[in-house]
Amino acid sequence: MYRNIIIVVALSLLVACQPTGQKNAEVETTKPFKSTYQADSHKAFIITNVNLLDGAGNQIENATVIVQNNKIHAVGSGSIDFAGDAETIDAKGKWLSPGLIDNHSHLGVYPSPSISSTSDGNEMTSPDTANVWAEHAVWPQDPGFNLARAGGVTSLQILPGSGNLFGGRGVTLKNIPSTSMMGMKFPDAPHALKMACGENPKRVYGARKVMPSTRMGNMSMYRKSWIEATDYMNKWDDYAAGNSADKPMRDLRLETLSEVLRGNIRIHNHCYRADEMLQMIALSKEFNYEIASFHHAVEAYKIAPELAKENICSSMWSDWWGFKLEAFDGIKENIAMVEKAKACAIVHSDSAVGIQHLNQDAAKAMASGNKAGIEITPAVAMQWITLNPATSMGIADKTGSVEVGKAADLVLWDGNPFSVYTKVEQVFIDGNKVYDIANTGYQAQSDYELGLGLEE
Amino acid sequence: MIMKLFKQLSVLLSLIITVQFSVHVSAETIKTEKVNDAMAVPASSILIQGATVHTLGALGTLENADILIVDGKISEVGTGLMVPEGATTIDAKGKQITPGLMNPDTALGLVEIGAVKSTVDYRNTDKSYSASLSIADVINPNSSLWSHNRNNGLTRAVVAVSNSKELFSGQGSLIRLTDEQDHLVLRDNVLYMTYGDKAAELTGGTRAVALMKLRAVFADLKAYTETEDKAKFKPKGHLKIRELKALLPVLGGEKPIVVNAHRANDIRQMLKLANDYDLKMIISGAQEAWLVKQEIAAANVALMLDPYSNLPSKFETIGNRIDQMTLLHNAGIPMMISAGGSHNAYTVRQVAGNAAAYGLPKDVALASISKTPAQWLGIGATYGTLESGMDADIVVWDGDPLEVTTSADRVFIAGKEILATSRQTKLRDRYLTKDDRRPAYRH
Repeated sequence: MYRNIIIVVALSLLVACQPTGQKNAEVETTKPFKSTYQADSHKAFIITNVNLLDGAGNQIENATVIVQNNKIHAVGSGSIDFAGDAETIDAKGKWLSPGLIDNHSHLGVYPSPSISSTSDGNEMTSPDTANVWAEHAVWPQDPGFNLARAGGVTSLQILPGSGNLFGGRGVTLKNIPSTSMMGMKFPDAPHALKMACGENPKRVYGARKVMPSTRMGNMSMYRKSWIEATDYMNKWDDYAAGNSADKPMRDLRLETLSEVLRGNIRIHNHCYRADEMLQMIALSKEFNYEIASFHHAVEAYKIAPELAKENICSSMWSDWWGFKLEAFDGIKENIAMVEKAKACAIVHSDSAVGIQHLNQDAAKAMASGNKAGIEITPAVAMQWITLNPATSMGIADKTGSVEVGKAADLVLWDGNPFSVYTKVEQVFIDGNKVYDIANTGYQAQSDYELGLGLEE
Repeated sequence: MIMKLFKQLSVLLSLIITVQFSVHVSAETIKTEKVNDAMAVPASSILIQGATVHTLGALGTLENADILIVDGKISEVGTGLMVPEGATTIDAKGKQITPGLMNPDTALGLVEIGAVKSTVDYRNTDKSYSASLSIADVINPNSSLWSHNRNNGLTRAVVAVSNSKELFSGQGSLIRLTDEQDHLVLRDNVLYMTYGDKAAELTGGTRAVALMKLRAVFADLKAYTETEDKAKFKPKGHLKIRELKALLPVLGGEKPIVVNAHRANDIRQMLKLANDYDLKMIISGAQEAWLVKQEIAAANVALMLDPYSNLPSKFETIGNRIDQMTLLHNAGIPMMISAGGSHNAYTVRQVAGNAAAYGLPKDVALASISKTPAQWLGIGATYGTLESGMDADIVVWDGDPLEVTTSADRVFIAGKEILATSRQTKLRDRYLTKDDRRPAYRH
């Protein structure tokens, strides 16, 4: 994320030979809270005779997938020669998909047990808390991670809540059991910045008689923060270019916002209503940043062609509606209608229950589309819970589809993943088995769940 | 005395009316049924042909079967039925048919938008109205939630009420999701009370006080029925006379009482209460029920469950598991599913499907969203199976009724086909239609 700064600093060293430049570069290249995740090594294996939904929009029957050195080594229909030593999994009658990806989870920051001492997802003490990072609150012992893994989820983005206009940085995790957040952190995945439109921020702060208490207030405060961030970014650029000798003071809030402006942090924007999404697009143009995805976009169907044109993803539920006014226009065909407009459609959970059944939510949305005459195939619906969320999170070059060279994040299903009767049989992350329905040795349990005396 | 009077009246009315309506227990009940019948749909015959019919009755599941509907009731179910003269026929080849679905715990008609307080009538914060609270007269059948739910196959529901300050929250009523004013099937047919974490919170911080308060109320009820001079009766528990009187029909099981409890030991305490006072008890939540399944099976109680919500999200639900309905069914415990809140009350179907995926027999899964709640909540004689004489609440599905990719093709409530438009379908059609006009003019 500091790559731009490094390049600018390096150039300025060449040109201006500023004595302070060297030190400056050192400070800015430190990435704190680095991922310590390292994939274990494993024996190569070959999955044969499988019905593959590759996540990139294709279905290949009778497919073969070869996994070696944590990566997808080969994919194709029929048999593929492999010279090395490998175990073969005959998956006749089974289906294979990429590991599922949820770009909207609060696991770890709103864990089970859900009590005030574990409630760490919403820093509702100021409407702009772009300075806080969700990863600092992720509790790796949340049993929800294990339940999500049993549902096939291999990568997930943990976002702060939506009480604030700027909720803070989100973090992408590999769904791998670990005693630390860093041990789960997805290496080199960009951060998210959670923004929220509409009812929540104005309700939270309006109730305290402070700004924002209206949507006007929401918008004016976004703009104020972006103005500050632009100024902050310019100060650092001036310093790096040698135009200014005064090294600016680091400000965690403005650092996050300015990294958005530099294109290094991706905006994930909680926004239900069509008119508000269009307002947020106009705002992004005023300050020249990009929106990766709208979340809870229950009215995306009203502006799907615009969202396609702007290349903004919509993260949606299949059927939630009506719990508040801005969710009143939710319809079951929303996701299919976004897909129909060739916009980026994503099924997200925002729920520790829903994340266990992303396939069922996609199935419902697919069926609702088909019923309304919008043809959606399983191959397309699979994209909603794999490659499309990966794209929104900036990790599509690493995972999200079963393609040669990508991480071997895989789910083996005992049938069509879009049937209620189908279960996840095995889950692999970077080629390592992390779940097996038939083998308790591959069923992780969190410390929290141990020894609570729950025997019949 | 009053109890006895109620019962006598009941029996008397039953004798007169049972032949026609084959109901029920309380006087109110019968009155309601009578009113509804007077407003029933005009005589008509509909023959649905050629479907897979899940009768949930003695006939089991029939292939290539027909259902004849006459005057809002199921007249006949079988294969190769004759087409009566003047009957409308519906080809349902390749389709599957179940009873209309039932959700035993909703706020349908008491909520439009959860976060908009002015549209919410199910959250009571007034301590003075607890057990006696009736919501029957304020149910709004014009709610946008109704058409959405019935388009998705829900035809029956219990409308429940909560009280954030009292152990006893009031009385629920049973509705059918018709769009006319004949929605009320049973008035005040079920009562509610709270135990567990929530009850401890309401009573000063410990389950011990909550349990003593509950027991004191039931002791009062018993004492009241045994007291000759009712006017002089002084309750020892926290409920005053008006509230106690509303609870009287739960003694002996005339009306069911739903109690929320999760922890295995909490369930155990409720079983004791049910046994001591001969209650027709339905334990809701019950996320640790599998730990005490033998004790539950030995008691005559039912469970109201949502196994899809499998998180160990509280310390009292730490034993939660997604396959618990299978374990409980194998122990012989009757179960009904409650899920989806009110806006998506129909999603009990998805939960039933998941229960089936984890080993619950499919007919038991279907019964848990129709027949079983009907039996426990007082309408088992008229709804819940597809058998001759039952109300024609019928859903024609385009596939396996427990499958998530399946949807309802046609929905009948008491023999009347429901018009399949809703706010949601209108929104969909407005934005799906190719039309040069601005969206606001497309309707």
